[in-house]
Amino acid sequence: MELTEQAILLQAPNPAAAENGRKLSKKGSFSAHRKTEDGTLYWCECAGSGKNPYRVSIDFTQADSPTCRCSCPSRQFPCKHALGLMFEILAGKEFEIADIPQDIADKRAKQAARAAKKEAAAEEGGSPAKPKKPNAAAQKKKLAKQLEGLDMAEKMVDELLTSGLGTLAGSSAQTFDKLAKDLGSCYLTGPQTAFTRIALTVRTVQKDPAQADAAYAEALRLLVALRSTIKKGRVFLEGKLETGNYSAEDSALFEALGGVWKLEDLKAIGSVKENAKLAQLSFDVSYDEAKKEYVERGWWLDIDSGDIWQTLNLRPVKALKYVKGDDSRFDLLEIPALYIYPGEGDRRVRWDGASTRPLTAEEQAGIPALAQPDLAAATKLVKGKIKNTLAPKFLAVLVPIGALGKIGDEFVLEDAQGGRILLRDRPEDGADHACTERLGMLPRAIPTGSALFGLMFYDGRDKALCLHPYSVVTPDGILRLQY
Amino acid sequence: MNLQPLYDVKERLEYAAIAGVSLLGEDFRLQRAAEGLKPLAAASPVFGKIDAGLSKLLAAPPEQRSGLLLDVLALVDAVAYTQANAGAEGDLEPLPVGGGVYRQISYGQISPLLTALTTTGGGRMEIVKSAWENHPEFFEDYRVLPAVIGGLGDSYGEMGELCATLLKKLGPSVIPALKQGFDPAGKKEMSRRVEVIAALEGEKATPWLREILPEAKKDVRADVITALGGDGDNTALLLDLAKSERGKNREAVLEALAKQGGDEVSTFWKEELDKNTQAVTFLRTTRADWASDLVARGLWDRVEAAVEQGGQIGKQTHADISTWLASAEGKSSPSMLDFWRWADAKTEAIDKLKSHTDQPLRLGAQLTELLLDSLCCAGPGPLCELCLELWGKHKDEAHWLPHAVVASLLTRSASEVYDEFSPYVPTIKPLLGGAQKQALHNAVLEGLGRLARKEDTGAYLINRVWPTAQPLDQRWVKRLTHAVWKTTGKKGGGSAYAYWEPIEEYDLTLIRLTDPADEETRELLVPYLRERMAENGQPYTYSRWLFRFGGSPRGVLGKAMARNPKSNRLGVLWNLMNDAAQVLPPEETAMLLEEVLSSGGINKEALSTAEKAIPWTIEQLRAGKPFPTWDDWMELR
Repeated sequence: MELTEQAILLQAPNPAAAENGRKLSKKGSFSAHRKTEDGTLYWCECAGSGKNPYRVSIDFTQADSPTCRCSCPSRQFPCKHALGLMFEILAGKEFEIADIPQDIADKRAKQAARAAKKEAAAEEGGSPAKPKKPNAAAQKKKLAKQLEGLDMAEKMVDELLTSGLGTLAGSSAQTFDKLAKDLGSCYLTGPQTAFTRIALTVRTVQKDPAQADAAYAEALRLLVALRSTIKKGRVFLEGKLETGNYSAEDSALFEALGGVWKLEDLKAIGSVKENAKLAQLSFDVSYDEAKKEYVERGWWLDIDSGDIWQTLNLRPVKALKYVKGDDSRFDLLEIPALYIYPGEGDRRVRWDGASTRPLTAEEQAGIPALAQPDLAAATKLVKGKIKNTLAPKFLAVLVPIGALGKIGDEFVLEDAQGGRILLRDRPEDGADHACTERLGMLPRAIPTGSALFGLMFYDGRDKALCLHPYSVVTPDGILRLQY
Repeated sequence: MNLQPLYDVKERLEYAAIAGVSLLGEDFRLQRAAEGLKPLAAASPVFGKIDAGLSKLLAAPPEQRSGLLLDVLALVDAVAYTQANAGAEGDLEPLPVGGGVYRQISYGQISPLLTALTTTGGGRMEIVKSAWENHPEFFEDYRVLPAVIGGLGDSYGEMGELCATLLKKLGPSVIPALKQGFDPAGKKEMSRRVEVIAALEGEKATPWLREILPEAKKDVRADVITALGGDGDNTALLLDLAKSERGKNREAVLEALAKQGGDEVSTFWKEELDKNTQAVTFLRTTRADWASDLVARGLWDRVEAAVEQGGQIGKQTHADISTWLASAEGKSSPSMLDFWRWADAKTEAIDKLKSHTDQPLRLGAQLTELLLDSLCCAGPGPLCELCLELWGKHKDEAHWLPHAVVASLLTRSASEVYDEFSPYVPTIKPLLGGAQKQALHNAVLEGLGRLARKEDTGAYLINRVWPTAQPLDQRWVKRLTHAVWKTTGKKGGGSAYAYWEPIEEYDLTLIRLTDPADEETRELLVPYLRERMAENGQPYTYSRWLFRFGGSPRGVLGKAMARNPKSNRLGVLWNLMNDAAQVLPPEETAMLLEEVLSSGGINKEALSTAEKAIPWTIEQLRAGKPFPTWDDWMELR
């Protein structure tokens, strides 16, 4: 791993820790700079508030995941002292060559022994983590409770529509919230969130009546999806109950009802791809009011298959300090095992470990060629996906650029065949995702053979498919309109 | 295929959901929309399914309606998605290229900056400043630049000012983004955009400013008018605006016209000043001869009238004269020079003027100070010659001596200046005429007080702007360290190291003139500062100066501290000794600590901790360990 400022930020638990580390480096808090001859270990002392300086070191034996050690009592990991040491290295400070300190040599040896043991276990045929065998009785009970919850959810939908969405205000909204919480007790966190979203959407109308049309349309879209989840979910759960199959299944319904996938479960259902190579097309962060969490979303292109995947790093507000933030990536990720969530469209992926390297010129040049053949193919694909009631009403696509321009005030993309699509910000994404205007500020002409990455969505205002542009992908680099 | 019937059905179903399905039976509009769909249903199976669903919904008992409504709506939505248009008619206008800058920056790198620029709350300024310090290139990026521009309208005024400063530093490349989305009737953001564009473009901004002027309102209008003053070709327009604008906008016109030139402008100002004497404040920063002539004439008339009247001067008249005096600073046209010559000739009469309360008016002193300020402000030029001329007439008086010193520093060789003026700073106490000689000494020091050495370049600057003709003659240092009087006749200034130590202006001047790297200076300054520390009992400032010049306060520190034990608190002691440890050998610091402890000059409340901390620190230093931190001292409490 090349040590860059971005790499340091990726290691940091939060931006403030990195900034504090930078300040320590700038004000000269570090002394006794040392490194081993092979450059895999850096260590020095950092003045703290106590009378003795902290001893801080970074071990680059595993270049992609350096081991940071510090004698400070901070619970943040890595601490600001370790991050500061990284800034010292980045700033090109002089490190004297020295022998590795004994305590670190001992720790390194222990770490190596652990890794060897793990490797040996893996070679013997044992998978790193076998899915646990579900407790049949408990699972049966849980499925019954979920079915009970679905009945309750259906009743809630009925009541809501009987009295009308417009009545969801004041005390009735509070009752509605309470009932929604009860769904959580029935292991139906998916429908619970859907109800919370509906209530939030309707509250938008009360706060800003000018947005009534869009808000009610969104609430109804959620209700339609919820209705579908209830109907399909009931069949799905009854089927499982009848067959006695309590393990996770390759179905989007599992997650729609509130199931949480573990890597071993995904492996068990075979939803894993080996040796994947992913390049990030875009990165963005949004706040989910219903779940009270930040959603850090990365959009990735599999440079072998052309598949577009998404990663979601969910950071609940209550646990913001404890969940490390994700960030934009500009290097290529080589992933030994890519775990793919069930579903259609832009499927979510995760991985356990990956190595990074810069994209070669050839790889970069090949990325735009992985776009859809033309706009017609892309729109057909999108229409086919979004008509599914359970699917989100957008799809991430990479489409070829014939020309980019404006017709009146609207940005328009034209492909080589003359097909066109309006480029617009997706209203649901909010003002912080607005980036279409940035197309008018591109630093250079877009070369032939480029593509545009973005979210294609249905805009009910003029009943048209539009594209929210996220990145301009050229043969020599990606110009991100988001991050 | 005309899909309007489908969209009508969708709309009616959505209304039904909002109003409640219990009213569905009475919804004749939904029934009419369902009827409208029938022709489509006959033509296509999918519409047939919707039609069947609608029929079922309309006929269903109330308890089944909500489910059926959502089922039909799901189907309608799916069809609407599959039938969605994609395309746009019209001529495609190519996008501009090169209008922005893209930097490969990660979200983590810019999100704190974007949050600081787009939200509210404390600590934001620090984040923006730090980002600028570390990565000024981030600010050009097309994701950041609009946020910086938006920051111009920040509700926290200082943030708006900071954004304006940063945009000016980014240079002309930001102008297109500033002009994009500009609203001439907008608020503070737009107002600051005008200010930034005008600062970046100068005269080139005129066409744009003229274009937006008709639509510009309130603050934006005033700023546009002020900015028009940056181009000499706008005179006619500004003269027109002077007739039509009112209030703040008219003040902006006056500010802009003050930067113009020509007969028309001069005539306008003459009439304006006749009508509105306070308008002279707008000419304060104008150095042009026409403005200087007008101010000289007006000032002359006013002072002359006061002198002719004699005796007490009314409050209003005095205030008016003061306003005109302030506007005369830096002006040096021939008329202004004549005014000064006249004022010099009338010194006696001017000095006799009294205020409305029968106190001396001090107008003469005001004029003397004004000419010195004016000279320092204008730099080399006619005022230098004037000042030397005035002093030449009164060489035995202190009146114009500071002016002569400054004028000489700006125009003559260093040795000439020293040879001419150093005799006024005696090193042997005169036997006769002490008071007169001290006044001359003070006057030279007042002149030297306007001079300072720039640390980074070593240049000597008057008023921090005008370089002297030659670097200061270093003989001054010896002269000043050996002078009889260590005063300037002016009140001392505050110390940068200890607010409770008022330092003699004489020493502040001396320090400003000296180069800590010069060996000879150090040799002179170290004993001098030790002596002054012993005399004045101000250990914190003089010790720091001693450290700077490579000296140590050992031997005088204890005595100086003992003169004011109350101020010797533990925190200031630690700071002083910590500073000593940064520049002095550990043993020297240890001995200073011993002196402090034995001086009996430590604040009573700090004494018990000091008695533990100081011996321990001495031990640490002598053991080769670094000077302890403040927390270490605190742990010993």
